[in-house]
Amino acid sequence: MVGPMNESVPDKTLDQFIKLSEILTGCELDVEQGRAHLVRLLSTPLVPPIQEVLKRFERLPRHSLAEVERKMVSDAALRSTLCQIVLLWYTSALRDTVSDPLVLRFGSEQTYFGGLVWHILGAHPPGLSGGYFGHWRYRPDNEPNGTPM
Amino acid sequence: MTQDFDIVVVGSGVAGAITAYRLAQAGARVVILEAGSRNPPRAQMVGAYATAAIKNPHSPYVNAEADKMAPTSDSSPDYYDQPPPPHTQYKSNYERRTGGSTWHWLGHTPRMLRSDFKMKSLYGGGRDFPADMVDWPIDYDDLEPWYCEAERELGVAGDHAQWNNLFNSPRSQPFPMSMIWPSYSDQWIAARLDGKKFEKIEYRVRSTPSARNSQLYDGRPPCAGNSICVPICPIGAKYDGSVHVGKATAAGALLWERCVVNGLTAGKDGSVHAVQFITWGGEQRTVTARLVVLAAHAIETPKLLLMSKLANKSGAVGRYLMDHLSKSTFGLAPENLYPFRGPPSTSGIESFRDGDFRRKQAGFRLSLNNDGWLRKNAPYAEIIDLVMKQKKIGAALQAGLIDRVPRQLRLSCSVEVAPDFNNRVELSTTRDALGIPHPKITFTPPDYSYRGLSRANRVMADMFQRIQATEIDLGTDDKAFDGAGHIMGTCRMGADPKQSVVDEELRCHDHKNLFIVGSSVFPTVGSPNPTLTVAALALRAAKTIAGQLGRRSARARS
Amino acid sequence: MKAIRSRSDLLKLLCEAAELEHGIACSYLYAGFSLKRDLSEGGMTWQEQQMVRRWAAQIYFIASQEMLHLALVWNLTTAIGGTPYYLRPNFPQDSKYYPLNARLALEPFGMECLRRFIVYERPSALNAEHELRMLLAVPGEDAADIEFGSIGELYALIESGFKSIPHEELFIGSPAQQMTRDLVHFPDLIAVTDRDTALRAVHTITHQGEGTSRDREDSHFGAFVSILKEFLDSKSHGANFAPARPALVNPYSGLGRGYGASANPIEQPLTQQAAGLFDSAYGLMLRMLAWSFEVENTGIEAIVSKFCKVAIDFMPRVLLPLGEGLMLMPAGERYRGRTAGPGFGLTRHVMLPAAADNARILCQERLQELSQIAVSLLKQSLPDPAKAACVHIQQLANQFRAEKMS
Repeated sequence: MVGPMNESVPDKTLDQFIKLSEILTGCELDVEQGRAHLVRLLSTPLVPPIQEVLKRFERLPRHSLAEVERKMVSDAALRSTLCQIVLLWYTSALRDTVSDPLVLRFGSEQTYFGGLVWHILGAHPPGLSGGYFGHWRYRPDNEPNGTPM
Repeated sequence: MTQDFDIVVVGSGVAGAITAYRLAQAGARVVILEAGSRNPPRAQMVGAYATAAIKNPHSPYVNAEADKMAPTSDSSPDYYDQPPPPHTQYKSNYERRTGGSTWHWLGHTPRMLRSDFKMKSLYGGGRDFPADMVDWPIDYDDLEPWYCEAERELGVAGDHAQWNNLFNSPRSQPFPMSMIWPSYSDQWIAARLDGKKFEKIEYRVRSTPSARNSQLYDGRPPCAGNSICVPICPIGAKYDGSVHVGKATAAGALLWERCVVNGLTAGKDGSVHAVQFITWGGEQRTVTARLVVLAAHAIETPKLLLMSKLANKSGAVGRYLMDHLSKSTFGLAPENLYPFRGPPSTSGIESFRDGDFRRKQAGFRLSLNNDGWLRKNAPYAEIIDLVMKQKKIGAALQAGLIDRVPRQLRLSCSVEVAPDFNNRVELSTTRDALGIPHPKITFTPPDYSYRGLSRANRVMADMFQRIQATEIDLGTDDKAFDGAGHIMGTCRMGADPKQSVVDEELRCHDHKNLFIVGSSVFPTVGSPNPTLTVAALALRAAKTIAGQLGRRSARARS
Repeated sequence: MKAIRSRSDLLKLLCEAAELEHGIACSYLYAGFSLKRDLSEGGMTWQEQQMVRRWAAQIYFIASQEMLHLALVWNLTTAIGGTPYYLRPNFPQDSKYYPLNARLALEPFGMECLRRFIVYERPSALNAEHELRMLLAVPGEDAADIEFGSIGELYALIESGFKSIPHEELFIGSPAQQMTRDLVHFPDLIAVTDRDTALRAVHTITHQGEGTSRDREDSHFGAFVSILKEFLDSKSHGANFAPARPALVNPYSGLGRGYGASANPIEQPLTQQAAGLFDSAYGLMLRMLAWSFEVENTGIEAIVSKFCKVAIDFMPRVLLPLGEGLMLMPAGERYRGRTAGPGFGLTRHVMLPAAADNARILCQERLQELSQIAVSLLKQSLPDPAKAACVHIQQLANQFRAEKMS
């Protein structure tokens, strides 16, 4: 499924979205990917809608991990959309329903191959080359746990 | 009477394409009739996969017109006319596109074992042995040189020392390419399993021979670990039938796509010279040839023969439908195994494929897999669980993913299905958009195979125990299985025309100029993936056909 | 062609071959490191990314075969009584340094780079010479000006030496010195013990490099021509296509000497330290491998195996990620936005001693030193691949120390 064209989103909205997304994902994020994701979220009937989530974020006294955890993640009413944001950045997918079975809708090819979870896991987006012939023989360069043995 | 062509080949999958290539090389005038269409460029199909909601084997190949005109159970869920659950379902499917089902195969190319060709002689006689299990009319030594040739044609990577003389099945040539490196996970598991035993059978992890380049070969690059062999190799390192379609057309064969064969006509002497086909535009046409080769895979080939009322004096057309029973099991290893890297499977365990136990129960292959819990929706399900239930975000979310997903492991088995007369393909009363009957399928695995499946489940449980896995998931039903994508039987080979459809040269008993290539000719299936055997048989048949064509040419000239 | 009749001449040629295979491998690796990975680096659509990752995989594969060629040359060398030659001149070297008539250089991926690679691998006999000249021509340059030499000619000379020097005089090396495929991850490695195996080793090298007229497309030459054609095609379709990181040409860390006049010193301090660590790790890896190839295995199989294991792990776990990481780090202010890259600088150092215990002591000490440097670098801001490399150096140092060597 190709996402909607990159219509303009207000810079301030995009900025809030990126800030919130960075806290949720724990990653430094690309603004252009963010624009594509936000456009898609704006046109997807989420419960609650993305606009409401961004307003709640804006009203936090501090835009910190602790505040987001305490005031937003803890709120069951908000959590589903927060989860969608993470899923989107990590995999380019949105979940169709909240219940089983899991039905996913993927975004554009560009966002699929920009999915972040694969690098976090020491892998690569399925479909993109992971590297040279035989690299799967060794532990990943970007080893997930990074702690010296 | 002059025929339009020397050879018509029905189907452009690996069997048909290889046959067409060899015959065109030998100077024959060949036309390949392909029901499906040509696929779009590879990169476009990778994009289709990336955006597909369900990343199943058909996802890169979805095309509304092709799915309507050349349907399969992939494109049309009700294509197989079979009794609904709780009756066992035949789940394996295939691809009707130029190049065929090897577009989405995994690429594994083990050979059949010596015993697989002589099951009845070696293991028969007991009351637990399936009544319909027979010997092939050829043996391993007959096919061995063709296996070597098939490995060269497809481009197979493997380790000779590991595979030479496995269960008394020697290799006369080294593999064309050195093996696909085993994954880190394979090596970790091998360090803990090799040499241990289950019911006196020793585990030994072996690199699986594969039609996947480990070096530059045949103008195609080495594998770069894109990891989506199923459903498509983005770079062409994995062999697919389009390779030989290209070679066949370069050698002079014609390829007519979007031409669905819907009838064959035999003359009074039993020769089949006329092949009827309908184009996607609805135009009904006929093409004639001196020899006809059916290569439409093991559902469409018998269907065509049944529609045409040909080749069936034995009553065996469509009968003895087989597959391998596939079962996946899951566990969480105590250490990171790093799935989602490399081909989806690089090693396996062959130890349970053969032995005296086959008097009573089926043998099976085991695969070590590199795709973690993808089939249980990893990592998507983990992300959702961590955020929704565990309320983790940021670094804690990443840590939660890192703690689990790299340790996720899938093991799988592929169990021999014994032939059973009652497992069959017939003609349904429902028809597709071109008026061609759907296949009606009846399939229940014999108890012999269920016993093998049960044992395979116990072996996989043992393997998980030995590597100290937790969260072991063997499923809830010991008899549950998936299709392996290995559709076999239905036009079986045999010496007796009363019991089989084709002779040992793949020539129909009832029609001396009609040949069948592909997995439909297998009388029994053993436990290996069938494609290498398909390719070997096709190469062997092409030689026979070229010889037969040559003799007829010589007679015609004299 | 001059016939090679003396061991000394043959050994000198094998050293030249070793230098060339080694230098060319470094040049290929540099190009591979320079190719972008992620869409977030910009300059690629997702389709172009697919193509770029495929190019990188192919270039790395070819580099790995050059390393196999180096291993084969080392086996050929020890088989006739020589010792593995692992030195090479630092980059760049002008086109007259070898009879090859092509520069040895470290350049990011691009037209210049690919031209040079094609010239390295050019077969001795080539039918489509005119087409090739047209493909390699730079606008404004007369296609006829491009000169060719051929590595194939060098190996033809080596082959003549193995054929003409009497067998019983030539193969004085101990078979126990020969490196085998189970110790290093090269399934095509040949243990050289006689003329037959020597010629097989030479044919393996030339076949993989230039191929034969029947299967040229499967040779390095064929692969590079194919990549160049795709690159030219893609440039004409995508004006914004920029597959390579803006890395320096011929960078150096400043540790070594003997760089060509046109080499570029890395000036950003952190990047310079990381580049120095790369050179040190690379040098140690080479010495460990050369030692493993030279010693007689008998009685010390376990030690050799452990040396090989750590040395081989250096490539995927340290050099590859650190090389890529350096291409994401700034080179210095005067380079105006360009990033650095590994210089593959070789410094003066002793070969490891023959006595295994002493070799182990030297390696263990050096690994600990490198580990300390890695720890200090990790305290600063590094790109992810460089961080990973530093973590892995510590792991390898600990692993080597913990291994029982008897």
